[in-house]
Amino acid sequence: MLAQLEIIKFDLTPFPKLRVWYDAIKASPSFEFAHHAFFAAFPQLRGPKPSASGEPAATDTNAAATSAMPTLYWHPISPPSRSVYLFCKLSGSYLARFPHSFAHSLTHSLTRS
Amino acid sequence: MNAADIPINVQLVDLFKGEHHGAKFLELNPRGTVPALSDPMPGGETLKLYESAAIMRYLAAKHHSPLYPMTSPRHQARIDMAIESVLQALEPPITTIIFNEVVARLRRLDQDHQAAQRAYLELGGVLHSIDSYATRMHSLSQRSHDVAHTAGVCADDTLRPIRTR
Repeated sequence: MLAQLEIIKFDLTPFPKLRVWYDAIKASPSFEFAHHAFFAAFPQLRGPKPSASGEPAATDTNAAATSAMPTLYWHPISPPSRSVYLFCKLSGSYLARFPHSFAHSLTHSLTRS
Repeated sequence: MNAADIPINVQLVDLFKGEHHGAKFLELNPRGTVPALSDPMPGGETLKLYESAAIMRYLAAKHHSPLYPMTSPRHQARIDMAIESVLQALEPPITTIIFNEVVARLRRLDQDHQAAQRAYLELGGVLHSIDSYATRMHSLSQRSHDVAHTAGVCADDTLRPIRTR
């Protein structure tokens, strides 16, 4: 959801914790994969046809596809699609990198109450 | 702590080519929206899901993710309440801003500048609440093990400004 604010150059500086969290998430290869086509697609709002260069990859080449795993059907222009993709792809590294992050602290405190 | 990512295959549904309206995709999700998930079950059936929150909660439960622990109905309900509160607080101002600042301008529709300004103020307030909470939680986690107090801070201080806006 915060990534949408990038297209209007919204400044997260007044919110330092959020900015550190977002910058770190943004630095991951999964974020780049999920958002490249989204940012590239915005010029499409000016016209009916998407540019060929803005077309996203057909599949996630980082994933070792197996028939036993769930398959996520998505499109990077869709914010909920990007949320689910990043939730799956970054959950492990997120926990390793942000042990006291907002989301983890929230979950921890609610779980232990 | 399970710190592994959640394994999934990823398949693009090309919205620009209308693949989400195709018979094959509608069989997976009759609403024709992304994301959607298919998960082969041991008995040969396939679980079909749509709605992003349902998909994330299912995958987190299946893989025992500590980001969304399945502990008890009470805890689960409180986590859901907090997540929904934050999302519902963020979505309206962001949608208003993006429509007026980007979509309306590019499509040459009428822009409601006052609505956009109100949305900016609202968004700033919500982000400030979240940021302040994150700052307090870090210090609380260092000096206090009073989990009831910590949960109280979360439920009262974080959600109040969102609820009463």
